[in-house]
Amino acid sequence: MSLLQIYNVSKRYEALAVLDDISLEIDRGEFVCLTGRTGSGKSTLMRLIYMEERPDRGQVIVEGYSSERIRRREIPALRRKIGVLFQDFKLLRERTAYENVSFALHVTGTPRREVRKRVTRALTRVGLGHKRDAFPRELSGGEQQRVALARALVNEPILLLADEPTGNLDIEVGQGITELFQQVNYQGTAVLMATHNLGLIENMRIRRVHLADGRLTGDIESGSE
Amino acid sequence: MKLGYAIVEAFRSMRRVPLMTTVAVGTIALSLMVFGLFLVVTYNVREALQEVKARVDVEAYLDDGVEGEALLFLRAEIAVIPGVESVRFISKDQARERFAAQYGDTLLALLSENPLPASLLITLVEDQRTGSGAEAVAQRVIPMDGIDEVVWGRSWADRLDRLILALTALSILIGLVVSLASVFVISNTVKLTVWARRDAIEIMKLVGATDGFVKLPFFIEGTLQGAAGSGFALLILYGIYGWVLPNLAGLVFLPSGVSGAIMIMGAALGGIGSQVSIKQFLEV
Repeated sequence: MSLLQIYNVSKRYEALAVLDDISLEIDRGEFVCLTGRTGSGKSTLMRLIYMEERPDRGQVIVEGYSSERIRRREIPALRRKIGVLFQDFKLLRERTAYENVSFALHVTGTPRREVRKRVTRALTRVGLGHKRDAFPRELSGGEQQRVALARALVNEPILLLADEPTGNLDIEVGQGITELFQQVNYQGTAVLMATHNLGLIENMRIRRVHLADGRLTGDIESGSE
Repeated sequence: MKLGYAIVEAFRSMRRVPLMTTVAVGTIALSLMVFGLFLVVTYNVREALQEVKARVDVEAYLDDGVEGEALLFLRAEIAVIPGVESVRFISKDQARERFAAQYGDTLLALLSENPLPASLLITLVEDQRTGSGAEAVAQRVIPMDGIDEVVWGRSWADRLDRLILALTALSILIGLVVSLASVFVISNTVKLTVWARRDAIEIMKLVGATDGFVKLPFFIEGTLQGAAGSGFALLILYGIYGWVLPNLAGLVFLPSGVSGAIMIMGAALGGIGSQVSIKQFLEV
C-alpha cells in the first residue's frame, strides 16, 4: 500500500476553489516535488496531508489514517510520523538549536535519557553539531532551516513535508538544503517538497507534479527516460 | 515524567518572558485587591450593623409590687416566648442607678421616693432582632399580669431593617459587578500570556504533542500566576489594613477563611482561564 493516497480531493475557502478533484499517490521512500505558482494550493495540500484541515470532498489517507475516519485524538500519532518544514522555519526564538529540536521530543513524551542521544544525532545529520547552543538569531537562514529539519527528523518520520523550504534562502543555500533532503530520502524517508523555484530541482532525478488552478498536471518521472 | 516536564516548562516560560509574567501577576493582584477591598468594607459594615442590631431589645415595665413568686412566674412565662433569648430583671434600685449613670442623680435627689419602675429586659435571639421580631414579642408580653408598659425601639428598629436590606442588596450587586470584572480581567490577562506563546503551541501540535501535553504547562503557569497574584493582593490589603487600622479603631480584617477563598479563587481563575484561552490555539 502507498504511504500517501489522495483521492478526488476538493477544498474551497468560501467562493474560492483551491483544490479541485485532486488525486495523488506517493510510495514509501519516494521523492516528489510539487511545483506551482504562489497561491496555487500547494500549502493547502500540505495541510490536508498533516490533517490540519479536512477536505470538502474526497479522501486523504496517510499511513492508514483516513481523513474521513481519523479522530481528533489520533492526529498526534499521525503527526509523529510526519516531519513538516516551512518557509519561515518556525523556530522558537528564545530557545537554542538544541532546545528547539529537543522540544519536539519532550512534548511527545520521549524519555529524558533518549532525548540527548537523538537530538545530537539529528543535529549532526544536518551538519550543525557544533552550533547546538546557538540561538536562532545567531544562525544564518540556511542554518535555521537546518535546525528546523533536524526537528522534523528527530522523530524519525516516514514522510517529510517541506512547504517552500528554500523560499527565504539564497540559491546556493537552498541547494544545500535540497541536497540534505536527498540524503534524508536515501535513508528511506519519503519527501514531498513544494516549491515555485524550478531552477532548484532542474538537475534532480525526481518525480514532479504541477499544481495549477486547483488541478494537478504533468506528473512526470524526471530522469527516468 | 509528563508532570515533571510540564512544571519545568511552566517555570522556564515564565522566566523567559519576565515582563509578561510580572504584568500578569500584577494585573491579577490589582483586580483581586479591589475585590478584597470590597469584601473588607462589606464585612466591616455588616459587623457594625450586627452590633447595632444587638441593641434591638424589649423592656417590660412592671407594676409596683410584683415580686417573689409572681415575678418568677412572669419571667418564666416570657422566657418561653419564641424569639426570646434571655430575660433579665432590673430592680427599682438598679433602674435608679442606670438612670443616674445616664442623666446624673440631681433630678432623682429632689424626689423622696424612687419613681422608676422595676423592669424585665428581654434580649431577643439573633434573627429576631428586628422591628417585627421585637413587636411580636412585645405583643405577647403586654397582656400579661403585672406588666405596666412595654417599650421597644419600634421606629428605629424598622429603619435599621430597611437599611440592612438596602445595604445587603447593594453589596450583592456591587459584589457581582466587582467579581465579574475580576474574572474578566484575570481571564483576559491569562489569555494574553497564552497568546504570547501561540508559536510554541503551534509547533507542539505540529510535532504531534497531545492536547493534554500542550495544556498542562499552561495550566500550571496560569494557576501559579493566579495564586501569586492573589497572594500579592492579600499582602497589599493587609498593608492597607495595617496602615488604616490605627486611625479607624474597630476595623477588622477578613476572616482567614475568606482570605483562603481569595487565594483559591485566584489560582482557579488562572488555571481555568488558561485552559479556556488555549482552546482556540489547539485547532491546528
